[in-house]
Amino acid sequence: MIFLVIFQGCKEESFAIITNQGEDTISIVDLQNLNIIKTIQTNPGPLTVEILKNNLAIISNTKNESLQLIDLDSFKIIDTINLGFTPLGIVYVEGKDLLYISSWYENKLYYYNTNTWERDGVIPVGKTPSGIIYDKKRDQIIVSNRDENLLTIIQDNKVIKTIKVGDHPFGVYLSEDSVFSVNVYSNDVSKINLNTYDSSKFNVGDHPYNIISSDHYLFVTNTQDDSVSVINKDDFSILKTLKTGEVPENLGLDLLNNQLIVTNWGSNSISIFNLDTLKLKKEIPTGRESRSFGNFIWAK
Amino acid sequence: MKKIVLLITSLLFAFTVFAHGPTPQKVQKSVKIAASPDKVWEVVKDFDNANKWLPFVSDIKVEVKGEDRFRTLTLKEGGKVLERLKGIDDDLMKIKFEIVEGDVPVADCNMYITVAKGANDNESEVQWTARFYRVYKLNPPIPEGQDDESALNAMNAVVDAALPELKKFIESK
Repeated sequence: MIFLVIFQGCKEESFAIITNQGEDTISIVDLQNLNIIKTIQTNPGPLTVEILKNNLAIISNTKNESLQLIDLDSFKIIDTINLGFTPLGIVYVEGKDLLYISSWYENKLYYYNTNTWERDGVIPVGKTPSGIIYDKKRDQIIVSNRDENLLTIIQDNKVIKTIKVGDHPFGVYLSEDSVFSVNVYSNDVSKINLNTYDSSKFNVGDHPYNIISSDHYLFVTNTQDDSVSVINKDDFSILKTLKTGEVPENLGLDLLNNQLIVTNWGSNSISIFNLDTLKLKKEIPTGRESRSFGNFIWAK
Repeated sequence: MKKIVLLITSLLFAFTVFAHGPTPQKVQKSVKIAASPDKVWEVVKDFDNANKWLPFVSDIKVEVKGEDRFRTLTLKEGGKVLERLKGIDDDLMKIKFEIVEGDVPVADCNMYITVAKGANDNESEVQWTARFYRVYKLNPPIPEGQDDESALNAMNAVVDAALPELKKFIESK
């Protein structure tokens, strides 16, 4: 956390990269002034965002089996990587210069070298791999397999364990020594201790989708309640429910400006909340079907 | 109208809510109605009697099971759709419901209808939003009638037919 504060302390500006899947664009949002500074046309079906090193970001395009590389200084698309499969979750492992991509239809995880953009390998996982995270402490990749109600844990590019979670896990998140999976159909979140593999669950709203953690709280989007559940990190009770736009999907933390950003698929917008007061600061119209699965906040 | 119902009923098969593809599909349409929001909301929120204005429905049967309220829509040209009421919010003027099962080529279909004030006191805007997936979730090739386009066509047809009828029903009252 101290490292994070120092890291953020060197930064001066932050931005959100919002994928608008229904109109094949991304909106670049200035998180200081809370306005859109640029809209960029993409390949069909932009969904997931991941931040790479050297001021680069990458998006997945679900409707034409590609990734696109964005230069975050100029906010221009500078390269397209054709995959030959439908990408869903993406995670970047900086120390290894590898990008792991879940292949939704093939039940596989591919990994690419981010210097050459050559495919380095493939790992068979469970059905419909969705969210992915990298656990730096244990050097493991964790994937949610939505249609098998499992998390798959991968080390040295091999599956070392599968863990049963709730019904339809989608978003996954790592906080300290626990991984959380958001279970869309069972309306709950599974929490698994990665040292002991002890698991527990806590309830949230209707059709939850993704999760993120601040210093004080966990936040979970409830797509069919138009809300975010604010969860107590000690006893996992719901402290408060924040009203969002319609069908909120994904979340990002803008630590530089102390804000929570929520993408609203239904109302084609993002909602921005103050992280201390938990009050809505602004709802900004973005583009049709705003989603931004993955890490979509960038500070420079 | 016939075309709309054909779109739905010619693709008869039972779907399961546990099957859907990777990309949620969206239909979001609105209509302006020359009536006050309160008057419009009284009609829109009436989950049990939506057959008064839903043009493709010949009959509606309501069942309450525990805390859940269901309606079975019998389609004029054959087939049924079972829906569950998910909530009525009078403050927001918003009704939410889902398709549980039925003769429509969509999966996991959640819908909401909102009523908002129009340009003047005697005008309202009704917006209908549906979020759903196609039926077929496995690897391509996708069977005919189970793809994104079929799901979108069916739901577009439903909403395109229903909103003008809602307008006509309210404005003629």
